[in-house]
Amino acid sequence: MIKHHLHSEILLSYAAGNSSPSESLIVASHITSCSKCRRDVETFEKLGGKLLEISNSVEVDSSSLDNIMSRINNDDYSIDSSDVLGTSDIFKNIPVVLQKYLPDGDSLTENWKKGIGGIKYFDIDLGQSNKNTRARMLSIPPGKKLPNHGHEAQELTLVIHGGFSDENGSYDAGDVAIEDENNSHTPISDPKEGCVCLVVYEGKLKFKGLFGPILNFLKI
Amino acid sequence: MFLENTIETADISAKMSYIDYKKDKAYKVLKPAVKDEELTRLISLVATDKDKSAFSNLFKLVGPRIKGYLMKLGSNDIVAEDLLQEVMLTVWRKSETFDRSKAAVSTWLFTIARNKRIDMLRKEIRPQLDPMDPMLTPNEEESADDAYGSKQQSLKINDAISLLPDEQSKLIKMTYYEDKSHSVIAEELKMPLGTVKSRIRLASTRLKKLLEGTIHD
Ligand SMILES: [Zn+2]
Repeated sequence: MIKHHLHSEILLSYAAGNSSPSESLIVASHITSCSKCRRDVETFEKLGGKLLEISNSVEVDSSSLDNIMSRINNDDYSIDSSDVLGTSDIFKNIPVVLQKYLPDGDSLTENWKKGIGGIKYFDIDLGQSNKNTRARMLSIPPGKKLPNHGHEAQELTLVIHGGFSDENGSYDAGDVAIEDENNSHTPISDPKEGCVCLVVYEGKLKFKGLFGPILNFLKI
Repeated sequence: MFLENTIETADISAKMSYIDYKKDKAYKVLKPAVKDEELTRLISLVATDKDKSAFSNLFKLVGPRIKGYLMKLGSNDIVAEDLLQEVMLTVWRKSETFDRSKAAVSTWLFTIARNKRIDMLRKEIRPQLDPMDPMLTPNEEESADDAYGSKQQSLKINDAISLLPDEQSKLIKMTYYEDKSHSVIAEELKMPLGTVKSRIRLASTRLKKLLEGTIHD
């Protein structure tokens, strides 16, 4: 049962189509398992449809219909069903939208980079034009306590596996922690399973949030 | 109305849309829901039979409005024509993914147009929910009359927008029509980013509740 959700303005941006690549990734991953936020996105898409419906009609070019008819006459497109499902067992319980960006291996984290204290991480390349937004996978060993810290800008953390807890409660698979300049806390990873999570950072170049101190210590 | 609230900017295009909106409303009163049913029928002909004359009719019916919408979002005539071609090609290819029980035609077209704009204009990867993902949780229970396709529901969306205060509808408009991220909006309105986020949170939460029919003021 998902307890911690994305904020409404983040879901609105995703539906309107103007969230950054990294924010889109975390929204798409969260709404795969969260029907509540998915329904909100659908509501905002309905609004988009309504705005389209009440737009002015503008006459289309006279050649436009001929163009599209000749394109569909020569179209040999077919839906490729082979790229729909995850191929590897290591990606079990990871949303398909996220699997695409992760390296294959004998285990999920085999080809991730090694950090201190058993932490592993993998930077997701979304080809962002804006380098101030970043997406990173983190694997944190069980029972790891992080120093109390604050934040400078928005950082979103989606738990993929295991979990963590802090002063605000506990976060399990599917939950999203939203950190901003107004909070500080002392997170600790799940004592049995540790925590695999997707962290998305918007704004400045440094990770300052939930696992920020560790990320920065890694000099990434 | 949404557009009425923002019309004080003396923005000619907003006025035009408002006039168009009024015409639209009159049209709906005269011909309730016929249009959507016809579009649905054409799309299902394309999906089941790859019916080219149905597709051609569909293009004639939705093309001008999609083009108008794309131009409202800032594309010039040439770009809007190119995008329209891409949108309609996707409609042709993915017609079988249209599920009338889940979404109105306009919603489906909106998501296609949105995605094509991102592909073409931003040249960015935009990760999206995979509708075939085996991890997908089932949808929450939704009563039959809660689906948005019907005429009543269409009117309700317009009503809902009209109930937002001016500033909130302006922020929603900037998000959809001007394709602006929160940080761009913050810069333009000379507001702290946190303030913009919390105001859009307020506006979108309110709008959502209105759309879900939980507020009736
Ligand atoms: Zn959620």
